[in-house]
Parts: sequence; C-alpha cells; structure tokens
Amino acid sequence: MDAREKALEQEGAVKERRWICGRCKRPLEVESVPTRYAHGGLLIQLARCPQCGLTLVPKPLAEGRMVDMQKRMEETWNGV
Amino acid sequence: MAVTLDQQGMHALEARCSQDNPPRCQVLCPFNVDIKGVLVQLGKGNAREARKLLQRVLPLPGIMSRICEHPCESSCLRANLGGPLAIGSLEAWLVREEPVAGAGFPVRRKSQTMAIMGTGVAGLVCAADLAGKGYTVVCCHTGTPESALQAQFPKLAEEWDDQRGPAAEWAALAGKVTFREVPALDRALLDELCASADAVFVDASQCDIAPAREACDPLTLLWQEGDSKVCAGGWKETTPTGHTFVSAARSGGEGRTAAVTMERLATHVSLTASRERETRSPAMILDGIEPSPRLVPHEGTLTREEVQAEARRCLECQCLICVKACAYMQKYKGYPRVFARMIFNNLTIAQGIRKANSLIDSCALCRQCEELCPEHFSMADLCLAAREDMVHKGFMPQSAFEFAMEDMESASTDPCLFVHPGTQTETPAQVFFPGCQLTGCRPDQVAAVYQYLADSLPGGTGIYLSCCGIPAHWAGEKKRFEEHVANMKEALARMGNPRIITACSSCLSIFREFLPELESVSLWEVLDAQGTLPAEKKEKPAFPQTLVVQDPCSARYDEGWQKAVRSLARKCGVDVTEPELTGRLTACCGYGGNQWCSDPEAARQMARLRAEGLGGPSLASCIMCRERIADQGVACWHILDLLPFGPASTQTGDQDSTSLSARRAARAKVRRLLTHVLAGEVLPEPVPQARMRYAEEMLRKLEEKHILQEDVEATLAFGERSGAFFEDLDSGHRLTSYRPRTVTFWVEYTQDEDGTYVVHDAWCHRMRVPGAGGEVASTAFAKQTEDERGRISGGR
Ligand code: SF4
Ligand code: SF4
Ligand code: SF4
Ligand SMILES: [Zn+2]
Repeated sequence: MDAREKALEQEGAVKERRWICGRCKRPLEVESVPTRYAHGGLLIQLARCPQCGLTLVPKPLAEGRMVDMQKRMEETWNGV
Repeated sequence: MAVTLDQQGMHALEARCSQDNPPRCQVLCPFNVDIKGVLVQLGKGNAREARKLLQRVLPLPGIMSRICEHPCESSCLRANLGGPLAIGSLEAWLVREEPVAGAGFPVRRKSQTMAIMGTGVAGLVCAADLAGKGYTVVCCHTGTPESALQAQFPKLAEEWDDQRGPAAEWAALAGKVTFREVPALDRALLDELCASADAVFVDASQCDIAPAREACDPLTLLWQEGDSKVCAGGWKETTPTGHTFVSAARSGGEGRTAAVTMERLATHVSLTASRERETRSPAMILDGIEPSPRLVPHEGTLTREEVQAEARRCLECQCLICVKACAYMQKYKGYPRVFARMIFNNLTIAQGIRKANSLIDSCALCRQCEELCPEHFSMADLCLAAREDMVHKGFMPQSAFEFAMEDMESASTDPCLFVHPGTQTETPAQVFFPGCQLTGCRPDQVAAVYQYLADSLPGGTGIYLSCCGIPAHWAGEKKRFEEHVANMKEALARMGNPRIITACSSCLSIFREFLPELESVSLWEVLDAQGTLPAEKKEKPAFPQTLVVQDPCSARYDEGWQKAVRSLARKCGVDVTEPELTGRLTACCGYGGNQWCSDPEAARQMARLRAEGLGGPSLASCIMCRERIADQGVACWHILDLLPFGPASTQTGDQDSTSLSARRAARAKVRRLLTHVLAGEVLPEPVPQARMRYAEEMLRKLEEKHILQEDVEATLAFGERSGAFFEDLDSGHRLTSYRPRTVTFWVEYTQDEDGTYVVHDAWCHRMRVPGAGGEVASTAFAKQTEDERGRISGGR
C-alpha cells in the first residue's frame, strides 16, 4: 500500500463520525473496495456495512483525494 | 488563426508569439549578448551571474568592452523615458570589476587549421572564436602582433595594462593561437594559406588584397570569387567627410560571422542553414512607465550602487500583452508560445501523463488575446482545435464539461424546449430566440419581450426556447454540436426560415457562423430601431445615472450589437462610460468556453479581473456577464433590467446570480407561460417530491459544486424509499447516496417533526463505488464491471 492509498484509507475510515447502517443497525467495518473510473480501477479502503455491503464515501475523500485520483486517471488514459 | 496540429503547425504557432524573442538591444548587438539578462542580474546586485552571461558570448571581453560602440543603446526602448540604458559603461565596469568565474568547459581539440590574415579587431575576434572551439589557429601579421589593434584604437594602448584589461586578454589569447610575423599580407601569402589551411580569414582593414564588401556573401561573408574557402571582414568605414575608421562592433561582428562560416567549411556543414538571426523584438506597451534619468558619466570608476540603479532602469523588454489581460493564462503561469508547446505535447504523447488537459479545457475561448496580440495569436483557436482532437481520439476527460453539457441538454429538451410559430401564421416573419441563460435568469422579462415583439412586428413572431448548442461547440463535441444545429435548422425550416431575433450574443455568433443562410439579428438592434418602446406600465427601475459598459466577449466583433446596447441605455437615461478594454478588446466574465464548468477557479479569477477592470456599477448585455460580475461584488445590470418589459422590476445590479437549478425551473416556467398564451394549454406546475429545507449557505455551496436541487431531492427520495442510508449515532443525521447518471450524489439530512426534510450537506464524486449510489456491493458489481469492459472492448 503506497502513501497515497494510506491517506485514502484514513479519510475513508471516518473515525470522527459514528455512522451505522440504517437498515441493519450494524457498525461499519473498513474494507478494500474496488472502485472504477474512466477506464481504470482502484482499491480504496472504505467503511462498509458488514451485513448488506452499503458503502460510505465521506465528504473529505469525495472532494479531496478522489478528485485527484479522477484527474490522474484521466491524465494517464491513453485511449487503448 | 489556422491551427494545424502537427510538428510544423506547432512551430508556426510558436514563431507567431514573440514573447521569447530578443529585445531590441540584443537584436542590434553583433554578438547577440543577452543584454536584458545581464542587466537583470546587475539590477539584483548579482555581478557574478551577469559576468557569466557576458562571458558566454562576448569575444575578448577585456578588449571588446572598451572599444565596442554599443549600437545596442541606439534602439533601447528607454530612449524617450530618461535616455537609453548605459549598456556600454555597465559592460565595461562588469568586465573590469568582476573576474571570470570558473575555468569554463574544456574543449576538444580539432584537427583542422584556420588561418587569419591580419590582426585588426575582425581578425582577432575570428581567431579567438575559432581557438575557443578547439581549432589550430595561425594569425599572420606585420609588425608586432598587437600593433594593428592599437593603431585602430589608440585608447586601448593607453589602457593596455588596466585591471582585467587588454594586456590580460591578449595574454590569454596568445596562449591559444599562434602569431606568425610575415613580411607582407599579400597575394602570395593568401595562396600559401589556402593551400595549407582548411579555411582563411582576410581582415580587410589590414590587407590590400581583400575583396570589397560587395564581393562577399552578406550572410556568410564568403568571398564569392577566388578560392571557396576564404572569408573576409573588418572593412574600414568612411564618414561623410571622408575620414576612415574601424567600427569595433561591426568588424568584431564580421569576425564572428566569418568564424562560423569557416567552421562550417571545415566540417562540411551547410553554410547557410539556420543562420538568420531573429530580428523581431517582443512588442512592448510603454504606457504608464515613468521616465527615469540615465546614469551621468563621471571621472573614476562607477560605484556598485550606481551600476545597480542604472541596470534597474531596464524595462526587461518582453511582451506578455495578452497575458497581462487574461486571468486564465496567469493562472496557468505561461504565455502562448510555451502553451502551444505544452498543448502539442499533450496531444501527441503516447504514454505517460497528459499534464495539459486542464490548460486546454480551461480557456474561455474569448479571443481577447487574439485582438490584443500584435501577431493575433489565438489561444481560442488553439484550445478549441485541441479539444476537438481530444474528443475525436477519446482522451477528453469526462469531468471537464459534463455539467455544461447537462445544462445544454436540459435547456434543449422537455420541459424547457418550446418552438411555436405564434398565433398569426404558421410561417412567421421572425422568431424570437431569447437564449437559454437569459430565459433562465429573466423569465418574466423574456415572456414580456416576446409579447411585445408579437404585438408590434409585422408578419407574425414565433418563439424558440432552447439552447443554441454553444456548450457542445466549446467542449469540442463536434458531432453533438452538428446534430444540435441540424435540429435547429429543421425546426426553423418548419416555420419557413424566419429571421432570428436573439437576445444572446453567443446564440447570435452560432447562428451567424453555422446557419449563415438564415438572417439573424440581436434583439437590441430590433428594439433600438423601434421608434418607441412599450408604454411604461411599470414603475421605473432604480439604477445609477452612470454605468460602465461590459461588452460580451461573443459580441466583440459585433458593432451593431454594441451600438444598439449603448443607444438603448441612453434612451433609458443612462450615461454610458467605457472601460479601458472595451468593444473589440472586451474581456470575458469566465462563462465563455465552458470555463465556469471546467475550471471554476480560473473562471472566478476572470470575473474578478473583469470586475476590477470595470471598476464600478456596470451594464451588461449578456446575462452571464451580469451574473458573474455581480457575484464579484460589482453591481451589474442587464440591459433588459433597464428596459420597460415585464412586471415592476425587482432586479437590482447587486442581486446574486441565479443558480443552475433556478435557471432550469425558470425555463420551464417561460414555456408554461407561453404555452398558455399561444396554445391555450395549461401545463402542470412541477410538484416537489417532498417538503425540503436547506441549511444555511447550503444553496450557495450546492451551486459551487454544480449540484442541482433536483439531484439532492432525487437522492434523498431514493434513500428514504430504499432504506439504504447510514445513521449517525451522535447527531441522528441520515446519509444516503444515489447515482442517477455518471455522478454519485451524497446527501446528509434529517426530518423535522412536521415532515420537512432538512439538507445539512451534500457532495458528489464520479468514481463508481460498489455498495454506494444504489450499486449493489461485491458480486453484482463485479459482473457489471465485466459487462462494461465487454462493451468497451467490443465497441472498438
Ligand atoms: S530597456 Fe533593457 S531590454 Fe529593453 S532595449 Fe533597453 S536595455 Fe534592452
Ligand atoms: S481566456 Fe480568452 S484571452 Fe485568455 S487565452 Fe483564452 S481566449 Fe485568450
Ligand atoms: S501578445 Fe501574447 S501571444 Fe502575442 S506575442 Fe505577446 S505574449 Fe505572445
Ligand atoms: Zn446494512
């Protein structure tokens, strides 16, 4: 795991808020989630309901690193 | 400006921008000294760096700096602002006071031999240059080696032993060349040298047998008759009174030119290829530069302070005319010449990172640069061509223009699209095409203007509510844009191709360029031509007596538009004043080119720069200019806000801009209003899905993120319906996400006792995340991804 993904993990974990799954009422657990964008994929550590899989993307991640990653994937996409 | 996206095309573009070109002083320097660079370093008190720059190109500095007539000064742009820079004195000071740093690079010895006939200044410069390149150099002279030079410049003999002066320079040269005393510099000697050396230089000031200047090729100084390996230079000049003398600058320059030719002769390289020096200096605007007096010469050496002060008078001649006026170029920290290179690299890169994507996608395509640049460099043409190329090749980032394209789509389809020939005839004489943004921001006025046109123009007036398609054009989406134009063409044909009256300068530019067979005109010209405006039913809106006019960038070439707006404003009792950049030179507000969407920060900076340029309450004739300038805190009225249309005006110049969501709602409203009037049909008003309330500042934040209220509402509804939400144990907030298209929206909310939903926060991202936005986690998603993969590879 490189430094970038580590940072993603921290942001994804949303330690500061106590979210639970509204459906299953279970606390969330951090998992490696395969996300996709443009023509690539990326594993991101995200908080997720262990029962139904409902997954949370917190605001700092969505508006911070995810934007950077999106941009990066757009820049390296070479049309193949 | 024609743009060809190949190597040659890019070279042509780069050459158009003179920003990197040598300043006028350098153009006149026979040795191409980077005078500006030297002066900048001296101005910073960095004599060591200055000396290094000088050493690189000035031959025999200890001699040359004392005798050069400094032709550079004669064209210095400071001339009328306190006098030209004292370049000659500063160079002489620098050579005397500052030792040469380091030993320089060792040169590889070459096998060829070069012969010099005559050791005047031309011969010596030629010898020094060739020796510096590692050739064996033999200098033939009569008398003592230095006598010719001293005779040409008696001043040198007096200063011969000065600090780092001629004697030191001479000693260094003597270590690198061989001096050979000969009885005469004559024909026999020339024949001998031609037989033994690889190339020969004849110093015309010393040799009677030298050819006349006219007998030598001006570019190479090759003697055209005789042996084909002889160059000449250093001819004496004659004053009008018949006095002869040697010009150090000119002769030294000829020595250098000849040295280049001789090296090429010896190494069999083309004598003429890429030898023309750039003579076009960057354009400079001298307005507003304060004069400051030139250094006064005095006895004794200059002090460091005097040198620094004089060097600081240099204007550091460079162009940047276009950059100074464009916030976008300032943000990307460059100028068109380097941008062209970056953009070309971006388009041709096979592997690696496309660093210039944002540069290409963020230009406002406003063409101000094109008008300001003395060479009419057009970043707009360049960026538009690059965008079309990226779309064509499939490299265009999805995120760049998505919101703009969605806005266009929504304005051009149900429930906003509306085309009707009016009540008078199926083929009206004209059709009103207000433009989607004006309709979105001024719904009541737009409906009222239509009524007025329908009542007062002969032949019937139709209405056409839609986007003109310019966002797709700006986005480089050629195909989509062509389809849009084809649709409009068809709709207009069904109405019998009426004259198009539009209130938007962008729409007008599209009609004129892409539907030139149809007549199109601005609403302002039509209104201005009417003898009287509608009776003032409403109270007069309040606006300042004087307004600064903001011409829209898409009307910069449209004098009819500009005149009509000013005339109408005057009829409304306004005194119109002009900003510094106006009409053809007007600046963009940041809406053009979809800049607001692809680079909101650049767009804000554009708006700010423009608002500052306007400097006070202003008058726009494009509604986006109005909105964006007002957002910068400079009150701005739209021309329609002055005119007596619609209900009693509530519009004031400092009113905030209208949100994307509100604009959509307003377009649908105008359609409902006019459908009722024209077709007698009552369209249903939209029913909100739920009662919603937004926490403070939320609406502004949504707008900044380009999130629509309808997306927030749909997301919330999805969460409540599916039960797929999180709960915060501390605050009780719910959090849900929904992905209606290529964006996943997140909404954090609570519900009041009375059932109203309160939105506390919202955000969005483009990445697809299994388990979020309605996508099922794990297995189902893995399958979807495969389907998607299959689609992608199958489609190619
Ligand atoms: S102002 Fe400076 S850069 Fe410009 S011509 Fe004069 S010396 Fe050269
Ligand atoms: S934003 Fe306008 S002035 Fe600036 S580079 Fe683009 S077209 Fe030129
Ligand atoms: S105005 Fe701009 S594009 Fe034109 S020469 Fe100057 S820096 Fe280059
Ligand atoms: Zn669950």
